[in-house]
Amino acid sequence: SARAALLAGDPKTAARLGHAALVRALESGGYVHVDKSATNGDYARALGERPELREVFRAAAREVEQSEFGQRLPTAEKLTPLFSRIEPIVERLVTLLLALGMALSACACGSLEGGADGPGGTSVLRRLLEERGASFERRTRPLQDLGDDDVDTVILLPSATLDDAAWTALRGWTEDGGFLVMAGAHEGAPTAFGIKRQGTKPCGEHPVVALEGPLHGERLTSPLWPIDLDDAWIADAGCVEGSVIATREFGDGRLLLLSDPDFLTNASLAREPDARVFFTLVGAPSSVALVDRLIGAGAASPYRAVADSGLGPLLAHGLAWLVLWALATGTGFGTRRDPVAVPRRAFSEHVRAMGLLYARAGAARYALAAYSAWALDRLTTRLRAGEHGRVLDLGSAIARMTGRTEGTVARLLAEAVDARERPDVPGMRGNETEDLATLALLDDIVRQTGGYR
Amino acid sequence: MNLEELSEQIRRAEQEVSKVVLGQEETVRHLLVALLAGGHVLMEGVPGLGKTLLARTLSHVLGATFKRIQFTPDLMPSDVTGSHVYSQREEKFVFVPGPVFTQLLLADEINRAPAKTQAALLEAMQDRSVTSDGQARALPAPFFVLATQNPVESQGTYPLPEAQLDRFLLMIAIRHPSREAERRVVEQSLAGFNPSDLAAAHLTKVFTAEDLVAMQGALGEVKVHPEIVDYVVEIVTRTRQNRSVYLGASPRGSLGLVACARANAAVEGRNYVIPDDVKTFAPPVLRHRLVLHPDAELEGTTADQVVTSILGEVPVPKALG
Repeated sequence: SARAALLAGDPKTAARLGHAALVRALESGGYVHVDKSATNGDYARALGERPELREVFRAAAREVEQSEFGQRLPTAEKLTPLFSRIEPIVERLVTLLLALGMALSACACGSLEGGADGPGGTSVLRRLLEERGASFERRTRPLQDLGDDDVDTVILLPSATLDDAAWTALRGWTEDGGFLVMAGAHEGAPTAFGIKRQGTKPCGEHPVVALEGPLHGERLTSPLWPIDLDDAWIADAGCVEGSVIATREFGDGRLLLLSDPDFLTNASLAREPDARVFFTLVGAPSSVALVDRLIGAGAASPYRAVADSGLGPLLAHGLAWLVLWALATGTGFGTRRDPVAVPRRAFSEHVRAMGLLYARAGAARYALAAYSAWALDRLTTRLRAGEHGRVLDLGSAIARMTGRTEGTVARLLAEAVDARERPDVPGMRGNETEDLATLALLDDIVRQTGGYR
Repeated sequence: MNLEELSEQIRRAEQEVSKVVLGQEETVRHLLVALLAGGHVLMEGVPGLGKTLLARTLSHVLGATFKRIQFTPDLMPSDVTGSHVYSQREEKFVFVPGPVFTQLLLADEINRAPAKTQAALLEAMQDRSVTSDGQARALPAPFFVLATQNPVESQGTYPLPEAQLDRFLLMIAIRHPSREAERRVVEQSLAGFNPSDLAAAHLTKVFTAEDLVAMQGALGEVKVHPEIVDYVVEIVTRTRQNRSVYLGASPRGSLGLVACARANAAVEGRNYVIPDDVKTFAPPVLRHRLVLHPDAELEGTTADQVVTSILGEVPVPKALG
């Protein structure tokens, strides 16, 4: 699609799509993680171990940024060689991932279908169709209701398992004018469709596009398995071994068959010119229904869902047993319990937590200030000294009572007063350890002069 | 001067500075971008990381006049700005310019001086002039202040108030060099390099002060897409809404971020700003403009962590995968 945009004369979109394809390929290869807040620089740094990838990525990012933020359009002369460097990287990473996915896949049909955004998903198909103005739904309601819905195109993926009734409904809908796209040959498809069998040998070389127009003569990107079809089909791309993309009229409607069951996956649609061929044939539908493994997963009502699942009798039995048991035992569904009382924390735990906060904040000076304010007031009241701010009097009283020297006590009280008055300025001795030592000494004096009561 | 010449000259300046100052390539780039954007820089780092050497080397390479002020608690405002002194010969008071009258000023340990002295310097930074005795005297152009502070010691310091930190365009946190870079530093010393004698390092003067003024004029050619502006404003706005932040960055932060992104784009040789330019400079532009809630600080949250988390939430403007 990037090359298509370039051919259509839209280099800005071409650069953007090329860059996007590269980023998605790098993501699927596990080299980068796409995030809305990540810049191109972040992606380039993530590619630090792979300079060859980083260099290509930087070139692509430069073109995109230049056009988006520098208002200078990239040129075909720069983009064409750049795309030639991007394509092998995208192919290699996507093929590697497909191979890994197929090896790990539990599906016997060999077809990948991962999450919508994974390489086997269909988010790219959806996005490209929506960009063309189509409304898109992943069909879960029965195909028998197709006639009532305003769907003009149905895309049938290989994982869809249809019963006879569903095939009949689909055939009728197509005959009435619908456009049915089938990825891969489906067992159970009506014989009237004229699909004989999947070829047993892959195309020996890349299939050639037979479609009239600018794509004529181009080669699809990977060798595909052709399908044997009857004469009503017109080959749009094929090889010597058979057709790989074909269309036919069917009643008032049309059929489009893609022999590759993975043709419509995200990984596949990143390749040129495969995606362009597909969208040339599909055109611009107005309403698309994607039919895959979810078909029939939905029901019109919960009761229908239970009936469809065949669990009705089992659930009825279970309900009956429950009623009988309830009648027999009369047990309530819950044992009554007293509400759990949230235990209160002890005051000492609060104090300890506060102390830890102070410690973490390195706020020894503030702790000393707060304690000094309380301790000085308590000592003044208790010893009835120093009431008028005469700290020396208080010091003398403390020295007499505790047996310490007046000088030591006076120095201690001076530090305490200084801390109380200027809690945000470093103390006389100027460090946390000394502040804490002062606090401990003050505490000692408080205990010796009557304690905390 | 066109952007190509600008880019070439800045890269040459980086190379020259890196001959002497090893292992600080990111810091050198940030300094040159701040210079180009016309802002001042606050460098925070422990002693011994080469902050003074970096400033002196930069002045050699830029061909700018250089002065250094060691901030101490007894430094007076007139020691920074200058004062009137009576001249016996002229028999009148003459103005003796202070060290602030220079093109590149290294204000070492700015947080050791009292608030009044800090204010004198910050006023000069803001107005690019000094008023003495009612007369305004213009400072030389360009005027670039490189202030340093030590994050380790808090005793006997006067932390810059948040309102004044905002005057600095960038706050660069200088880290220890890598093992390899430190090895080269030691080898350089063993080879006889003397940091006091930069002339022996044979540094080339890459451009002049006039060239720098021309470069600053050339920045007008660098386009800033409206989506980039939205990106910047969104980032800065979110700093005001973050629950860990008490006071977020002001519009001055948005202006600073755009200016640095523009200057970086020019250094990279582009005439347009890309989201990477913004993301690269968001931390140094915003880290000193955020005031965290005390409980966030107690939990160990830093301004850098807040900025990084915001950058991880804000969608980058389109044109990406």
